[in-house]
Amino acid sequence: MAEAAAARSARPWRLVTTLARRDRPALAGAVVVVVIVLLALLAPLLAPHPADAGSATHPTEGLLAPSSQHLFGTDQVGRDILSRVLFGARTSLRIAVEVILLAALVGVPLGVLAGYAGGIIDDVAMRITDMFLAFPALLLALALVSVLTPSVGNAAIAISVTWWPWYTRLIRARAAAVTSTDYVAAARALGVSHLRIVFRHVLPNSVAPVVVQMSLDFGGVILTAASLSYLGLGAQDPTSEWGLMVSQGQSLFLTDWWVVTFPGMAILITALAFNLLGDGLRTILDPRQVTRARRA
Amino acid sequence: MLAVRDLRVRFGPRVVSHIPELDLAAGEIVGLAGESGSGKSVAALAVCGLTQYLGARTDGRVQLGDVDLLQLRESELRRIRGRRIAMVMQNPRASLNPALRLGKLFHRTLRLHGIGNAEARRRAVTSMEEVLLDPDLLHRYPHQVSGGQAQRFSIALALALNAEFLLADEPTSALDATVQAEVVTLLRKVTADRGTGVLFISHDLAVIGELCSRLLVMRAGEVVEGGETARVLAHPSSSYTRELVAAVPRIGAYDG
Repeated sequence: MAEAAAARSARPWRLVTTLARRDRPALAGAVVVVVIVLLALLAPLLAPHPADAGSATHPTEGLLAPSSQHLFGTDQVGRDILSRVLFGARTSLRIAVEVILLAALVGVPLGVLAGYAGGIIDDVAMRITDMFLAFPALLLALALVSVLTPSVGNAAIAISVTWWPWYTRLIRARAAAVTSTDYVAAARALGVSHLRIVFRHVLPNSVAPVVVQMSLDFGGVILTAASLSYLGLGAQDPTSEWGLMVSQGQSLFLTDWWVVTFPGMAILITALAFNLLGDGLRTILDPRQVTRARRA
Repeated sequence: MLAVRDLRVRFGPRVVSHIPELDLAAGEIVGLAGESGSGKSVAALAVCGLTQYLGARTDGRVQLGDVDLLQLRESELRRIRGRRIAMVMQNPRASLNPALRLGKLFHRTLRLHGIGNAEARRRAVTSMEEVLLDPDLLHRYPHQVSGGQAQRFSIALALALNAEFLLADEPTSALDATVQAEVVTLLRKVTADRGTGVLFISHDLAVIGELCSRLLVMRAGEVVEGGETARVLAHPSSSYTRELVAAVPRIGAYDG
């Protein structure tokens, strides 16, 4: 109950001030995340050569070093790297949002159902999640994408498939605990149906840890998506995607460092910022979990 | 009229609660006493057909009017729970969803049983006044009210649909003594006004002595004694009841 109260009193502004006071790294993460989101949204306005983010090529301007014309230089086919990095933020954020929403959409209902119903339904649901979790996530995603044909959309689907079981397990434990509370018993004694108990009593009281986990997962998903693209199984040229840009530039690292460095930095900074922010959110929204983690 | 016959609740092979016979008439308050673990609460859940959620099997008869509740399907039982048989739980705070404001909980309960929007709103206010609570409390969350307020709210909620019978499972045990007296007085008043039959479960013989006309005493799942409260308390026939009576601290009786 105290937890629900804490979550409720954590209104947006208080969230920000608490973050600032208690957790400087998280505040830094939050600022960088906001900047990245703004850059992604405003990419068409900010990019000096928006056409380069797509299929435009300028073969005569290939591999130019950073200059006032091209702040981050150009790649093999003469595309402005700054423009591609900015548009790459859109790709990464889109994948992250899609994966996390899709995974939650599948994982949360299944977990709540398992926790509420218990018994055989619980066992079956948990064994299914075990099966998915038994595979290394990246390997499973790789296998799926190679079956589905590589693209940004399919990469998102493949990552979602490896992601949802975590949410299922996380919420299942809480849902099971909430199901045995007196207020659920009281709801039953008032003639409330299973469906209403699940949606009005169990779900709202067990969803908090999943929301925290979702915020923590942004960085991880962005990294995974970049890895897939790096391996050639995610975004395909000419899509602007950081992992793909790194893979295209890595053979040039010793001669033309800028091709691989800027997209690589973008991945690093974005994943780091989201992780710092997620960690800070967990401290505020779910203090018990942090205490446990630090003690362990 | 609620008539219980040979009600047995089993966890696996073990019978945890057995009530051979219990009749509850409109307006009557019957006590069910016994130590914790004696099967009182399980018996109350069985009357509502809720024992399946504990993983227990229940047989016997629970006759409400001319239907046997134990023969009904879950969907049919749902229409009876809350509307004809209501329950008040032991821990008032834990039995209110912490994520819902009291008013919303009340409103939804009434809407669930087919009461219109405006009527539900009106009835929430009158019900609050009936249990001597400020209707403004409807805007609060459960953690923002006191234990006594929460329990009075629970009573209001349980009686909002004018159930014929109320199962009160240790409704005062989690409250401190002065609040207990208030809640007992209130419970007696609102059930008398409506002619609600009450099965009052408690380990507190002092409260039962004040409130109940008849009394069953349970121990280890079995009824060891039953009858008129005054007689049972004055001349207990079983040794267990004698122990219980001897254990009652005598400072002063509740007045209503």
